[in-house]
Amino acid sequence: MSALSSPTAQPAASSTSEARDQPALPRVPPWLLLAPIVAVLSVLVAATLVVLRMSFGVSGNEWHTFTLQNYADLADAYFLKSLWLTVRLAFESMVFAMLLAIPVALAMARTESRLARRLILACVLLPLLVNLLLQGYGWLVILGPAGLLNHALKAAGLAGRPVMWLYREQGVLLGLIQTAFPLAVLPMSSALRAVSRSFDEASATLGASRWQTLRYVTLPLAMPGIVSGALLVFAYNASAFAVPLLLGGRRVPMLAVLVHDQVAPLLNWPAASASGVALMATTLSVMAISQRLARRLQHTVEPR
Amino acid sequence: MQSFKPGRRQAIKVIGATLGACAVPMPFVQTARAQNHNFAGKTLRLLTWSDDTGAAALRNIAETFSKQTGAKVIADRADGTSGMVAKVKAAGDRPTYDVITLAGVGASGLADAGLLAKPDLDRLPNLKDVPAAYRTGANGFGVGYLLWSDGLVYNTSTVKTPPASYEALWDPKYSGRLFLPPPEWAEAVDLTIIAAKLAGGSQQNIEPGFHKLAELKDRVMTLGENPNQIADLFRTGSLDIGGIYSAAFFPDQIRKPEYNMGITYGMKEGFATQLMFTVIPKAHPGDLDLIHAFINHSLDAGVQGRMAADVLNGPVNGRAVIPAESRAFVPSPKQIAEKAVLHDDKALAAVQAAWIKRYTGLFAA
Repeated sequence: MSALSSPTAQPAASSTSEARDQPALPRVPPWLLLAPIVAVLSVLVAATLVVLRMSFGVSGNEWHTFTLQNYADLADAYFLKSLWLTVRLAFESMVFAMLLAIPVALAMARTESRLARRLILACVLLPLLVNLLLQGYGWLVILGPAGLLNHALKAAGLAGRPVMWLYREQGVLLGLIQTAFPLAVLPMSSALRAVSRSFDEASATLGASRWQTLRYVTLPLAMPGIVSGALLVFAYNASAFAVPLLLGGRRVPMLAVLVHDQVAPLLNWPAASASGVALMATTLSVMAISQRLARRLQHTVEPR
Repeated sequence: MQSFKPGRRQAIKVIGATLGACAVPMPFVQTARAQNHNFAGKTLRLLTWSDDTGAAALRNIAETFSKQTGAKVIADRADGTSGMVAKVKAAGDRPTYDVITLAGVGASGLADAGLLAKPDLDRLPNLKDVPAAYRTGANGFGVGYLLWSDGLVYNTSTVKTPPASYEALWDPKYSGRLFLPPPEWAEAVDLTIIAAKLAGGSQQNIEPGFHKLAELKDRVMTLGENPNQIADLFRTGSLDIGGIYSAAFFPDQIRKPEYNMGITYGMKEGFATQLMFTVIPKAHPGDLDLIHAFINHSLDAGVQGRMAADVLNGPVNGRAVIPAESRAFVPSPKQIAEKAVLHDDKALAAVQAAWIKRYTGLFAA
């Protein structure tokens, strides 16, 4: 008789199987696992609701009054121009960032070398690791009237007077593209990695050139990631504050900068909140419309 | 004996009278001591700026006050006037701070919100050395603290003679090498008034000012939101002139020769100033004697001179002596008396929002 079949061994065996059935961690109700994220989200939602409520208040008595005047004031040409400038720069930066991101994301997705992929990733992530203010100062060093670019142009005899990109829309646009670049690359790269190479091979077998494969096979299949990246860049740049402030020299009045003006020195928090809500609503609307368009485009590309 | 007695009586009288005379001012001596020495074990809670100005206030005012009186000063620091206003509003009725030093717009805002207590000016003997215009403000709730002073900043290597008029800003030879204050600053409001006056207008008739500023649209390089950037543009020789601006924005750089920066307050049209205030929150934890002694100490001629030299603001005390090494960057009490034009916080607050919009639109690239 083996020890396993002996009557004394049976309870030991059953207790072992019970122990095996028990989870390593004590049983936790599923909703409790969501608690941390719910806590974080509730703070964000609460902050948004506070801003929303304040936007209907009167300056100096924000919590006990209700007015629509702050929203009526946004019909002013000053805010509308700023809103248009903000949306336009966010859109332009999104287009440029996405175009620049394609080769980088492709290289990351298609390279066989782990080292190369890690190096590209490190380079792409660099803007996220370096403080936004420092990046801004970097651009000042490059684009300033006595900066590297002007030194190079002067040395090459291409410009007699300093070329002024700094404190102009061009400088702000460059800053927006550069700071948001990782947000364009990373989702696109993930999406491209998920596209099986067999599609490329099938396309090549059918006689498509590399460009045709990229244009008609790879990019459409990676479209969800590309759209996510584009929307991230757009939303990030629509609310940009430090870049237009540093590189625009207060001559490129994007909306977040004007919101700051309402807070200090005017101390008009309701007006600032209303501007913030308008910016949020505009950004969300543009994102929703873009997503719908992208979905429609995808349906056109992949007919049922 | 007879003759001695009157003499002795006389002597007793003289001694008595002397003692009496000595006794008469004793309460004042006691009061003066009370201003200086009777606060050991007491605590004053100060709210001030988080930048160099706040650090200088702690060094020159709070530390010396603690040494003289034994009182402990606990400082909380906020990033700018709006930050201070937010903190005081958040504190509400809770006694949190005893004294706050802040800009005029913040003092007026807090006063209008009913959050301040009026100071008793009779308990501030140093006010006698402060010109009447700078003693109080914000509807009597603020006591003048320092004068934020704006001049013309120029490049010492390209502008050989300090400009004597604001017309220098419109000199075509500085085109593209000129900076102006950003729209949301009080300096922009003051510059608009200066431009209006140059063009035959006034604070009440501001239209000519905006027209004159419009001439600078294509000549201006930047609106100096970031003082460090401005200092660096001077260092690299990219700017010739600009303003109106305060030396207080770059107290370190302006002293260094490699930055090529000079500032002048000697314009024939005068120079703009803003009164900064000390205020007392209505709900304050500390006692009023201590609070008034602290405010009085901040107005002392020596303290004012040191503060002016450190933070490059003008002193409100007319007897302040500014250390020699800082005199080139700070308006003297004499210049202040003769040429300072005080920013009218109350009147200008009403138009600032509209002027910000126009100024922003005017210089948008």
